[in-house]
Amino acid sequence: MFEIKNLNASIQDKQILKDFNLKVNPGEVHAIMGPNGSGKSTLAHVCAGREEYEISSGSVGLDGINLLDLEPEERAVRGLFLAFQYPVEIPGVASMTFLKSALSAHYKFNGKKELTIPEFMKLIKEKSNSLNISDDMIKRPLNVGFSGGEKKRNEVLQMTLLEPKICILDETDSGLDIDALRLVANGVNLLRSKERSFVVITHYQRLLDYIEPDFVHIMADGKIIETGDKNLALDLEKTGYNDYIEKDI
Amino acid sequence: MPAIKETVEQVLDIDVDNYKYGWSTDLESERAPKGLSKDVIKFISNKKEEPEWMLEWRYDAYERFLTMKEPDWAKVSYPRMDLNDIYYYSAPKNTEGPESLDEIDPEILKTYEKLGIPLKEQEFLAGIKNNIAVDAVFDSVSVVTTFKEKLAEVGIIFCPISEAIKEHPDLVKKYISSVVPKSDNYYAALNSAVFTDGSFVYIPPNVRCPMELSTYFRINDVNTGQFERTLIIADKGSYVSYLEGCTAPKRDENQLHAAVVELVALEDAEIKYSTVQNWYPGNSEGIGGIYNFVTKRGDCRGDRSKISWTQVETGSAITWKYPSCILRGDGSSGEFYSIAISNAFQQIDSGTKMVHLGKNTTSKIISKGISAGKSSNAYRGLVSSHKKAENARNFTQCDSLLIGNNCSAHTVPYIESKNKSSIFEHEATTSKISDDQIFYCCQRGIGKEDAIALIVNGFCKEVLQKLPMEFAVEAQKLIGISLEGSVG
Amino acid sequence: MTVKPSNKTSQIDQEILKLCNDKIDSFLDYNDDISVIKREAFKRYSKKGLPNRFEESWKYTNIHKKLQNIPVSDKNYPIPLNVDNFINSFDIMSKIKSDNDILIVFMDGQFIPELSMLEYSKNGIEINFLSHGDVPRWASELMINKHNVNEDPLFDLNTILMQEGVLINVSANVKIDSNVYIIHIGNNDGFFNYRHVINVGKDSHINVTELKVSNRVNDALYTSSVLWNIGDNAIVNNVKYQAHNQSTVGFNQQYADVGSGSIFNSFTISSGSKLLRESRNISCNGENSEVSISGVNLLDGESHIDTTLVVSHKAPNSLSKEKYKSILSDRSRSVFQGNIVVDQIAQKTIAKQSIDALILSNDAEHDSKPELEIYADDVQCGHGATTGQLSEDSLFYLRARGIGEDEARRLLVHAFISDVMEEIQDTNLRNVLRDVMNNMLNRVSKGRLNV
Repeated sequence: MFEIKNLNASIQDKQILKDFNLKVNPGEVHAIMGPNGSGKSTLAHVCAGREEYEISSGSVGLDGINLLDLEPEERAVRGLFLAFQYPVEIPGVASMTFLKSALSAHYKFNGKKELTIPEFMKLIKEKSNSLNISDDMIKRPLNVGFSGGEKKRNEVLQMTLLEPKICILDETDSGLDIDALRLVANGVNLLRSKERSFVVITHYQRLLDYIEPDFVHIMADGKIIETGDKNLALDLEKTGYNDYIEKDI
Repeated sequence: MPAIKETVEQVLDIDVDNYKYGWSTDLESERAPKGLSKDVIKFISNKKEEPEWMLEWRYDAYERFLTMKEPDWAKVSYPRMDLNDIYYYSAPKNTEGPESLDEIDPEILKTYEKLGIPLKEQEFLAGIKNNIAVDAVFDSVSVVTTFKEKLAEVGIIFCPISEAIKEHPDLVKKYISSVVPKSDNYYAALNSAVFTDGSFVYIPPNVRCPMELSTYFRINDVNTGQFERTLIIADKGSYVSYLEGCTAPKRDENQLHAAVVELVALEDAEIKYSTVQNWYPGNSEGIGGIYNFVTKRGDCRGDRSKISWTQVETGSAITWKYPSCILRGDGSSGEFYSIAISNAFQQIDSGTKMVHLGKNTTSKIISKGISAGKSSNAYRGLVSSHKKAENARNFTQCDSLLIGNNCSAHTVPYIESKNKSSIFEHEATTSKISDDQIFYCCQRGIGKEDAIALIVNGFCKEVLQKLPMEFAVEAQKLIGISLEGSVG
Repeated sequence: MTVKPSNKTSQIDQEILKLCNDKIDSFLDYNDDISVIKREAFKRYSKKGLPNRFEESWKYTNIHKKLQNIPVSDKNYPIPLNVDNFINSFDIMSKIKSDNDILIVFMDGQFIPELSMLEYSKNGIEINFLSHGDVPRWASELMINKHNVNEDPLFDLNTILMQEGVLINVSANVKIDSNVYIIHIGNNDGFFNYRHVINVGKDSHINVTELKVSNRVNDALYTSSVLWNIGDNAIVNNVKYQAHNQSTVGFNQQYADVGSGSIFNSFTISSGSKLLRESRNISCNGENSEVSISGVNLLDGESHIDTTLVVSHKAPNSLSKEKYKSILSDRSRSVFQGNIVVDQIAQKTIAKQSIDALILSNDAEHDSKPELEIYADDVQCGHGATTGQLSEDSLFYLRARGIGEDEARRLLVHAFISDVMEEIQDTNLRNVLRDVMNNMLNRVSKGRLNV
């Protein structure tokens, strides 16, 4: 179970998250929607351990462990995966090499025997086919010169390989055309299971047409101000954020 | 920028004292009297049983040396060394002219084993280790050369240069100092006067050397300078790949290493020269370490010949080194691939010269400098085309990476074009590892230290690819080790 | 104060030293700021003399090869009669000059009031002249500051010999659209030395255009230094156009200190000259400053143009870009030395430099040395340098479409400098200079450039 309790975070003395609470049971998909500047991306980065943020109080629990006490890589191997809004380019490091390093770290933590090169290659091939990721793309330097769609597919490929418990998707739909969006959403849907839960952060409702959420939260000014089912997202699409925000005030 | 800040702090705690090759071997050694003089030169020449012409040659170099000044243009600063406080000859006792492995002091063999140099031929022959012929130089003498007989079958000469002077005087006379003149520079002149050993390679026409040739250099004795001289000649249509590795024990005083390497490639010949230089860099306070003042130059004498330098420089307190190519033959080509990592108080001023003299000559330079700690890392390179060098082409890419805010990176290229048909392109960048890159790796479960190693290896990839397979693995590990030290 | 010329020095060294010696005698009895720095400069200069090729920054430029004697005037051409005739006699002037511009004209080292127009120098612009004595405090302070840190013997030489120059003080918050023109005309043979000092107050905007032209085939040697001090949040657009004859030897020095949040654009077109050394030292002293240094060099005949540029970043978050294009023909030689220095404190610096040379003749030579000297880790710095001839592929492509070879070459040469001209901010000035360049380049044929 993934649970955020009374989380307060700020950057450069500006408070972004204000007593934020969220509880995600295994298998659930939660969508967080909100206007620009509501703190959605901050939430994702604080959970993953970005160090610029000052955390004054609260906890982020995953299966009873407070992730806030851990280094980013320790959170990752324990099962927290952040799909970045802007996946980072790393010149000279082949995607393949990167995936191998990441996978090895996870296997090592879980006490699993490391894959041999042929096993690894087989696994990659299998997983990448379904995401329409070519061999060529895997051999190229990580995210360098990738199109927006390629970058996001690569994020989903990593998610598929690393088998996290909780996936946070940070504006995964941004910069994607409809075909790319469908491809990425399919990849995510294939990963849905009883054990794995998702927090889908998005600005627009359209992603939720493809990844159907169990809960929809509206976030404004650092906290959740409204919670509902998927219809809330549809309403929001019609009325805009202002109605909700004003109502809250 | 907390991630970087922390990295920087880790860099500051570098454990450079953890130099892996920093032990010394207890051996009795025989030395020349301390200091530099005609007598010492004569002593060396006698020890090597050199013919008279060689002694005269050395005297001539010494005379020239006396008129020269230590260069001061490089971006390095250090207390000048007292050249009279150095032993110019030091040989482990009982190793004069070993006939076979059995005659070698077992301590030396142990040393090489520790260094990971596969010396024992039987292991090669049994196919246990890679197929590499090795010449090992310990302080001032070559202690063993493996695979000599097998190479001789195809006419390849691979032996200590002291032996070549005696056995193949015509070849030596013809080519020595034909690429690096005795008075080329201060250190080259010094080397010419007092060089003690090194490797000699001759590849006959149209022979493709069947194995990698390799020399390992080690400075072991206290207060010694190592002055090796390497001469490689690739006759028409031949090919050779040569590897050089270096280590030294930890000593508090600075030790001088002033080598000269000359390569000659005749028509259609190709020489690939790779170095992994891991001399002792001094401790975290900047005490001790090797002064590495090296002159390396290749002459593409024949048409369509090719010389390629690849270097991984991680050691030495001071490195002053510009492996160069004289592109004399029409259609000849030169390459320089370099990774230079500086840490703690290390100072590197290194680069290359590509001198285009012939028509249709091409050259390529890829240089990757990584500075950490309080080090200074400079690329200095010359690309020039002579009036007659029609259609000369050069591409240069110099990238610098800084880790921490107390180090510096410099790029000093000289680009000289004397004809209209030359096309030279030069690009340089300076950057740091971004917090985003590190965080991204960490979010995928990769630890910070591994993440930096991964990113730096990616940064160096174009050069690592150019190393022979056996060396590439070693180099990659070496980068890992330097980074282990450098990022905590 | 007498210094004996040593026997080893050449004729020109001796002549210059003697001239300095004579000159300095007239300042011995005074203790005003200018006299003091002149004496100090002389002390330094007499130890060093003219730089030789063994000095790193003069590696590619041999003064002694290009300059044997101080040119002496045996004729005396009169100055052109009136301002309109004068302006009309210079094609470029007639096109760019507008009615409310300030025109400051110097000829052969003298200020020429008859040709100048200072009427519009009101509204916060104060203009003085070096030769009028009583150098204002702000100007002498700026001169002393530069003098104290200077290491260039030619700047010292300029300090010793400076005879005339304009001192422009722009008060804070002055915004002028019109141009200030500083014009140097070479009319007679001789050795001339200019020193200009320009202080731009904070929040001010100013455009300064410098023109240096030879009126006839005279044999001139000159040094000229311009000291800029740019306050915070100021915007300065500076364009320099210099077209000299093949017998002029010039040493230009530009020093600019740029304050926080300021923008300094400086663009130079140079052509001709037997020898021209452009030393430029730009310093980003304040945070968030932006500097653009760019130019075009057109060389023919035996011309030698050397651009030596140092851009120093001394505060965080500043941006600099340098872009230079050189076109060489005949036996000309161009040198570009550009160093970007980023101090430890200057984090988040972005500095880019690009140096391109197009060589049209096999007897021409281009040498470049684009350096980076970086002491801060969080920076983005880079340089690129290319040297080459017109692409045969492009030429062929154009010719395959029916364009004649000469025309094809012209098109490609135009294309080569096209983008750098965009660095000129004033569109009118840019268009005029583009025309001037086009006219020059139109004469390119069969690989020759007739400047």
